[in-house]
Amino acid sequence: MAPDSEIICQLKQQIVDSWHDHDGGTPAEAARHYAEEARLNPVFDDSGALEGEEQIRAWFAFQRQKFSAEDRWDFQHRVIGSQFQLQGQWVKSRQQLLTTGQKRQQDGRIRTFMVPGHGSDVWISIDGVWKILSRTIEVDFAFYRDPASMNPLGFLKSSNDKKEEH
Amino acid sequence: MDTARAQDVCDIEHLLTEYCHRVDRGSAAEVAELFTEDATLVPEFDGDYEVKGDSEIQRFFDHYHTHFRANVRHLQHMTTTSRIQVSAGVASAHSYLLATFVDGESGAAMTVTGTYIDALKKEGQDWKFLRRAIRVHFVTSNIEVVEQLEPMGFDPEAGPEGKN
Repeated sequence: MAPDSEIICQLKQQIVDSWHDHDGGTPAEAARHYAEEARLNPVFDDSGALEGEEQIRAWFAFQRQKFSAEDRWDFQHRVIGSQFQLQGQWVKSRQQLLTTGQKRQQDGRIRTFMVPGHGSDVWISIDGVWKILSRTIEVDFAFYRDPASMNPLGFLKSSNDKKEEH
Repeated sequence: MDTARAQDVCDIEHLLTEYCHRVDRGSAAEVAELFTEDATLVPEFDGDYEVKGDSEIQRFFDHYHTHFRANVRHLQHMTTTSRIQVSAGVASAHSYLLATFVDGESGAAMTVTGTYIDALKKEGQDWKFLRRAIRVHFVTSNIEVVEQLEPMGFDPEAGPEGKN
């Protein structure tokens, strides 16, 4: 594997790690991927760009408090189609994102949501460890649906029926 | 990440993708080949049970193909955002699942989201599932389905300037 491919393979895993922690980690776990002087710009939000790991951790803490597990759950940012530009110690990357989850509206109604968007990162290698120097998250649009039900496969019943036959 | 570990991560990503293609279009035996002989499948979306051993796993996918896949069209499983950790011939993966299909009976387009939680084992040169748990988060339906897109109207005979 060529050195650039190794860096990209490693960064892909780090990008994935950062989004898993963004979705389900503690504020400290979500913030640990950012460099001390990092910048996070959630363009979809009106809070503006966040400067520094401390402020980023505070933003994740606020977000988790505002959307508790009873109000929003199954939150997943799907990272698709990553693009990389290697520039020495820095790597620029851009990802398509598809965010999904469920939320409880103020009237109590449960809705599913899907949000296509994209993320632009700059990663920096600090003492051999890759950290996010800047991340911009943009939302293209969102759509909401009611959750539907799925019919059971009935595999267990078929297994039990099979046992009874013998 | 050293070269060998990077290669393992690539190989595991390939396994996760291969599973999707085989579940969508392959035979039950082809899906079961991706599991170790002593593997466990935990289809949490279908109840509280475990399917143990590759021959039972093959029977499960045979049941899945007969009772589910045969009743839908355009089935696509997609695995993304796989968090993979490798350590001396074993690995774990935590991936986001997205599946889409058209329900054969109602004609509704369905979307399923969920999570795959995997333990993996390297047998020879091949990574296989030692344990796979499938968790569905939600299912949504959309009644407005277009299965055949309206053609764009491009005329290949028109030439570069749009003239014949």
